[in-house]
Amino acid sequence: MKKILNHLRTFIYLLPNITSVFFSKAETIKYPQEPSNYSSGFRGSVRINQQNCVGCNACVRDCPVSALQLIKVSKESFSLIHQQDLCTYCGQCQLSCKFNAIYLDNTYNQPSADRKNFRVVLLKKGKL
Amino acid sequence: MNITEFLFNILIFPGFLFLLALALGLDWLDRKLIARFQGRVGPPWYQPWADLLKLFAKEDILPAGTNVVFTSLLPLLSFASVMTALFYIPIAFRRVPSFQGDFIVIMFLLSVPSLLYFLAGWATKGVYSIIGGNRSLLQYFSYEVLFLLAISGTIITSNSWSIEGIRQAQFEQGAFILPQIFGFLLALSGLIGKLKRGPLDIPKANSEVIAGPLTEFSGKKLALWILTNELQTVAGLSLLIYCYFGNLWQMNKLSGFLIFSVLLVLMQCLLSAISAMYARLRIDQLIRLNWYLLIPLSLLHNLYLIIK
Amino acid sequence: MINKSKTPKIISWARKKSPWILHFNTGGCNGCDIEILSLLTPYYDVERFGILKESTPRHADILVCTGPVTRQVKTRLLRIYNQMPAPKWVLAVGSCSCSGGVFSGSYNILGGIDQVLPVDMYITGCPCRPEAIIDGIIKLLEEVK
Repeated sequence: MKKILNHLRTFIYLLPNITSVFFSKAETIKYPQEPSNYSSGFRGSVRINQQNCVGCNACVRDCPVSALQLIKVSKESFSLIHQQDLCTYCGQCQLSCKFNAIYLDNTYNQPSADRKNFRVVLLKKGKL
Repeated sequence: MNITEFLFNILIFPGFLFLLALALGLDWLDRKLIARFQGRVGPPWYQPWADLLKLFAKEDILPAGTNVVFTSLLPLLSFASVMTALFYIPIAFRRVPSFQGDFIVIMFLLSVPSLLYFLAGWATKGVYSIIGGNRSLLQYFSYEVLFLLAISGTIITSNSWSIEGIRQAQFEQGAFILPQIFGFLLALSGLIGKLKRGPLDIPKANSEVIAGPLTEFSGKKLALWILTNELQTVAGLSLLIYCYFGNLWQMNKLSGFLIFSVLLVLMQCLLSAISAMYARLRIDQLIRLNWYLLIPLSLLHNLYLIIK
Repeated sequence: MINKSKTPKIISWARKKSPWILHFNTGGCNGCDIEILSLLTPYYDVERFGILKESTPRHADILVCTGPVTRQVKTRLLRIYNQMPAPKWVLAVGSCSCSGGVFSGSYNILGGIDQVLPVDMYITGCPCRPEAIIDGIIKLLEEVK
């Protein structure tokens, strides 16, 4: 009997809540997305500052999943390749970099039907 | 009545197409309302149509070892029985062929899908299907009695076993909703169990028994089951409207139709609100609630009506 | 898996408007599963696109896989895929299900979902953003005929 009374009380308590949604907006975000405010710690796509990179191989050495690949011809001409579908976005490359070149911004990678599109050339310097 | 008018009546206006639009419209209203109650946007208006069309165009597969003819017959039979019941229920302002005792026929035809639902779980041989089927049978034994007892208050007052008799009695005595509001609420709670929705969706509890007896159904058969459930909503709600607000459409056709649709939408809002507010009951809680509290209450209500 | 014969326009419209998804974890860490479940929350309400999360493969159109394919789960994954009725698509969610990710090269891992099933759309991220999953499903539906 007490349970039934509780149920009835629930009905009376929730009735204002339920009627109020007709006068309020839904919480849902729009699609395509309106700019979301991600937390400052969010790690999205890997990006690079073209000027700062010297091709020191530190990020490639420290990457736990070998998602980065450095093709080095000489001191001036090299290329950095990022495998987006292998990367775990741990941020180790950002920590390892001593020149503030590689960093993770707060955008996400676009989905694709072909895995070849996930092999991204981050940087191309000099003649290759 | 000539043949074109007959075909028009069967297929389009109070017939198949109109009922389909009504049922899918109510389904959309239900989904949209629940989404709004939860602070979401909810699906667009064409969503149930798209779902049904997609399901009808999908491949139809069954697990190995099931009887194909039997499992195909089950959704067809339940669909046919609900459509036959709708033939006797006055939707909108339609006049129906009424005879003494057609109320019992409607109640029987509306309970056929529940029994076939149990058989569907038994026939497809899945573990979850069998659990869901047993649950639906247990639930059937509790809500069906409640629904029939609660709605028989109107039969007692009008002293007639036919839909037309209940209508005539309400013309003379006024609508039954005010003197029998208690019986109306009890019948509504029975109807929630009958439609397997709201807090009483125990047989097809999504997080417990996957999809209940419908777990192994796909394609056209699943579409027919979903359609049956939606048509059952229309049938149950219009039966309640007819039994408790019967005198409201003694006016002309248009106002009767308007009053009917407004009442239908209001009752659907009530059902959606209840299913958004309450968590799902366990099967033993449901049976205890029904047999210890609601059925004795409806018996007392009927006793009061008889003495009065 | 798309039927080669020409489908009527209204059927392809219906398929685009009502993709029901089945979520299956093939051996991942549960990170992407939480992101998929967050699609059902009011913030990213996906029912507005007609996406419903079904619990049985018989009702589903899109198989959403998370995690790398382990040796144990391979037969079950194939079985669930075969239980789905015909116009069906596979979505690989997360870096692990694209390539094996951080688990790649492990002795009990076969690699990404594409080692076992034909994948129609890959979504990267570890875990991937819910927005990225919505993007992936919408992009997948654009190719539906």
